[in-house]
Amino acid sequence: MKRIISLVLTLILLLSFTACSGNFAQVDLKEPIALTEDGIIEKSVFDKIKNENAIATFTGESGDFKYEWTVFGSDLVDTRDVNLSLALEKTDKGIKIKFSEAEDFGFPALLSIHLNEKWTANSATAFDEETAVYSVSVTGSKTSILNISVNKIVAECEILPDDTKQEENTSSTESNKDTTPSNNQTNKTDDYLSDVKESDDRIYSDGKNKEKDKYETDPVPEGKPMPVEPEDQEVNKKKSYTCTFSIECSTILNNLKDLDPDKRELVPSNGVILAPTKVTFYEGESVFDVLQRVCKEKGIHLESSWTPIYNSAYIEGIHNLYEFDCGELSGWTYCVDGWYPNYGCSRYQLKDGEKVEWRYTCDLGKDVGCDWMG
Amino acid sequence: MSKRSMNPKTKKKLIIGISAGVLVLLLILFLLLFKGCSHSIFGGTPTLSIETPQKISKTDTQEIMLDVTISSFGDAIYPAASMSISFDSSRLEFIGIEEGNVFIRNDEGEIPQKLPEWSCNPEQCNKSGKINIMYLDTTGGKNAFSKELLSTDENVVLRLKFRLRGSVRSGDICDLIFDDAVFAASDETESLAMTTDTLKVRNGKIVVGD
Repeated sequence: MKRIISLVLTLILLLSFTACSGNFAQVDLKEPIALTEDGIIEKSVFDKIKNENAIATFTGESGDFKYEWTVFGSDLVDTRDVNLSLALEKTDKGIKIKFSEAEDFGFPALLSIHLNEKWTANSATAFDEETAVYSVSVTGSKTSILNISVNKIVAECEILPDDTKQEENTSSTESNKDTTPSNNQTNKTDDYLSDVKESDDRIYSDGKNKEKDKYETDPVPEGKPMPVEPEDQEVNKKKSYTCTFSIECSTILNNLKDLDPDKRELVPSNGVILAPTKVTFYEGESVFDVLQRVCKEKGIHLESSWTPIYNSAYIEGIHNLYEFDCGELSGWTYCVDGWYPNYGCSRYQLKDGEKVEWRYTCDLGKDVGCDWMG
Repeated sequence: MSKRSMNPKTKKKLIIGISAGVLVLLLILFLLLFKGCSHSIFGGTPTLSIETPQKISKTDTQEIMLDVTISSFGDAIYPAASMSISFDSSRLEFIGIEEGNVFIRNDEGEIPQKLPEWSCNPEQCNKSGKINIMYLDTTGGKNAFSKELLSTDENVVLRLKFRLRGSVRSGDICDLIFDDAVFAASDETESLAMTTDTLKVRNGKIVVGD
């Protein structure tokens, strides 16, 4: 009898011990793990993720926001208890994040914040005071999801849509103008631009115009800058700003079979001809003006031709890579802050802080995210 | 007055009985804790998930396969299903779908099963940045989904195939977001739909590493 009782007690103890020995055994990594009130995830859980090379998701809520951490087992080296809880707070222009964890996690973790609204910006930046600490991608079709790869922890930061920051920059530019009045920004509007709305000194489309303009330009999407004709652009060299310029042809790497064999050696192994570089430009200059100067300064070959029907320069080749060098649908395209303007680069007048990317397409823009060409 | 004592045999039986009961209770508790089984034991709202794959290298030209899984079905049979998934077509090329391991009933409506033929137009999906996938049983319910055909392991409804475009960069995160998902039953009240919260969804993502 005593043996039976001791056996039962031993089993009870064993089961209780196993069941209560922390989260290690209990956690099902295939399901999202809801963060507890204290937000702490024990080392044993991270060990399990690491050992199983799993992908784990931790979910939490703060106010009206839901957030989610994604942790890849392959990223974990040294593990410890980590507090994954956040405090999220809506601000005038963005969202403030307060991390509960004071030290770096020791591994990169992917934070996704689910908003209840749709942000129009494609990207955003998290700022700690004035310092940019994380770059944020904005996705989602109905409501937005902000994705941040968190490597280093700051006590708190504010995520601002990139458009907002540009607006701030523009506003500050505007206040500078107040002290130094300038009437160099002509931005003339033709008749076909009559249905546009004005914001700062740039003219943006209201999306109501349904017809092509006289230079064969399809209607400019709502909220995007209207073209400024080169003959109307007056450059003010007393006012300089900066923008980011890059040139890349990585799409060719996926289409090497279509590439002119003589051009093979011109393609950089990573496809980057000019890595994102901050460049100075003068008020009133176009994307084409700056491209010419950058290529000259950096010793990058550039060939263009003037196309009267489009009232713009046409970029035939950069770095000796020309249109049609990689198939019938190949050539150079440009995008500014993620948007591919549907007009020539001579007609895009730059603003402070804009990000210009020249990209080689092998599929009429489809492979670089330009949806209007095809 | 003599003290009345229990028969030793009865006492023994009682102890064995109590011990067995305690053991059974503990075993149930143990199972619940280990399997996190409130879901599988007690049912719960079916969840349709896009499983996030391991990080992809930006130079990886291989196809990326993402499983779309279902946790459970209700008691009805589901002769039609559809889902709409948003993705960033500037960074991902949607190649098409592949069959999973969730079967439908055969032409006689019996359990020996066959795989469903989902329809989808990848070219259109890449243009719109939205993957629209549909299954329609044209036999009037014979080739329907039902819970008897689910396995105990991972139930993969279908697989999504992608390739990275040349425009991706290290650190890019491409979300795959359910805009809509429905498993339609012949009785509409038994349908599983994202919009009515009778079907939960979990979005997936493709994370581009170095």
